[in-house]
Amino acid sequence: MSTVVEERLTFERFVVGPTNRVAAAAARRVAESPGTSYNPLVIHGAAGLGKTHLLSAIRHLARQVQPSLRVRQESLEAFMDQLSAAIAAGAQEEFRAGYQALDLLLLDDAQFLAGHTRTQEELLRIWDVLASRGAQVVLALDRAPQEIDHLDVRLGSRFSGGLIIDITPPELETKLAIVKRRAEERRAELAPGVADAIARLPLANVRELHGALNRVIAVQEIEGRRIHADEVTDLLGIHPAAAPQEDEFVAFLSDITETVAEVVDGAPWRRQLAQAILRWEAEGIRTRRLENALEADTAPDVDALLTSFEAEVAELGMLRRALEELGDPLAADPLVLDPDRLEEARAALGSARVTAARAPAAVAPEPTTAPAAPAALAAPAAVDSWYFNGEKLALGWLALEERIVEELG
Amino acid sequence: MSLVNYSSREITCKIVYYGPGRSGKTTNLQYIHAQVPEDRKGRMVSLATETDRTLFFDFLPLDLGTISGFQTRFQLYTVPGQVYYDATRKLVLQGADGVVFVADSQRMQQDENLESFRNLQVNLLEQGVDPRTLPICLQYNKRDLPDVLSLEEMEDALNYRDLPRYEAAALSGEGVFDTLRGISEQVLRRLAQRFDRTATPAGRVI
Repeated sequence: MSTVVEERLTFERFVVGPTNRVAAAAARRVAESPGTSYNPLVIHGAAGLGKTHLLSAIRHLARQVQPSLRVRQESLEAFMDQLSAAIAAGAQEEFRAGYQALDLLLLDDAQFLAGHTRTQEELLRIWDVLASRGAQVVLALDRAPQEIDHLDVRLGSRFSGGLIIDITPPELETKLAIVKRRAEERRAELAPGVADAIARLPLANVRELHGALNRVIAVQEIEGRRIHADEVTDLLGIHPAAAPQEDEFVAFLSDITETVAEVVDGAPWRRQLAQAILRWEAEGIRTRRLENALEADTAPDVDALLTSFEAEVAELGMLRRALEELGDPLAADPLVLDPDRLEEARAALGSARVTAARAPAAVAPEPTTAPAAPAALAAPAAVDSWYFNGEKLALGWLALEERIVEELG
Repeated sequence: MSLVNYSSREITCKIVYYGPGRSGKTTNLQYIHAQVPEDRKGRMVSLATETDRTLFFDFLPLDLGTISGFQTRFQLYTVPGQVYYDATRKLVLQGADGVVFVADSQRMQQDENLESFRNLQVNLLEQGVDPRTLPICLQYNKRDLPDVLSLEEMEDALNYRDLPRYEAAALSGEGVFDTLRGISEQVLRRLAQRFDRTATPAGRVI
């Protein structure tokens, strides 16, 4: 998939507004570091609102950041066609292996999974391998995943394991920005008020908005003159007054969207905290402290709070790795994901080190049987930590002796 | 009721349509219900008597989708207008983030409008809610009928606090979304103001 049109679908060309801001931010994060944050990322929304654009933008940016990344972007229909061809040719293994080797799979129009049990089974097999390798999956669909009929529960579970986010129709300001951006790209000069008149038309999605603009530009080129703002509705045959009644709700939604955005953005510290929570949650970190700050009535020193939180998360990471090296089961405990329990985690590592240090001393061979042993034990860091693993004490005893003998020999 | 939950990224607004019996509260909700796409609305629950008057309340949940990263939901309620259902009205009014007072513009209904509007103030105060701080807007309904009071007469009778007001003919849908938009924006803007100050729960007297 690499048409000229599709190559233009980058983040730089994606007009962000209140109705797609979160989806765009999540998509960018996925592109910058696939498999680490929101996996899978599921973007849903009606046709023509920019889902395919975001998938393509992820693909472009991911390749820019990591050129060696194995990336594939397909529509589900193409995926099904390939699967059918593979079955006919008896080449299912090759088909499967091709997808399972990816680092980033971007699947468009995933709503077509509805009722296709064979495709669902195959996708599940591929997905299981991708998940085990930490590969990133991004899906776009025109409805919420729970609205896909006859979806395998295991697939449904995979869908909900990451971040599901919807894109709704743009509000007036975003529509206006889209029209102006597109006109610039087309190097078309619009008379004052024309972009605004197009943005105000009762059009359901961005694609229709582009279509309306294209028509205005075409007429300008054919007639060799600029169209005036008051000609737009007659030219396009779309009159706001003649809009179907259901547009009342769309208009209402558009207005409310602006107000909600003002409210939410009116307290930028809350947004900053909410985004930080979203990020840390995706990494499995407990964010209770940030959530409490978010619910407070007054703004904390957000930068200081986030800096100290991040430092503590980093320290937890070090503690976790140290516990892993010692083979301590606490390395997988929620304790090491909770900055509010940092003291406990520090104490746990201290205890684990003491336990580990004692383990070889308790089983240390007598100097008479192995004179070099005390020197080896005095510098445990130089010896494979496997020998100091309390769980493997009995084996460790024998192995240690063998190793010392071997080293002496 | 938490209007905005930043942790779960949800905004939930409870809006109550208040007013005398047969002023058109349920008609407002029915019109909204008919205009909202299927995937955006829940089932409208109406409990009516045999004579089709609202017995308990109407409830219409609206899912506005994700706005600025927040799952935004509106819950629209009506109260029964008849005088003897005051206990139900108090119950439905609890936790309201905003109220639409639907007045019947017909001349002969003016006393009922005044009585119901007084009843609203009393019930809010009883719940510790200051009517001066709660977002309220007025809807002068049935403007398409003959023998209605003029706009000035309606204003003189009801709008001594200069509340936002909308003319409507709910049966045909005229003014219904204008009213909903008006109260919604009031509720949301009040929320924004709240964030700018040390907060007290919206509309509550302390």
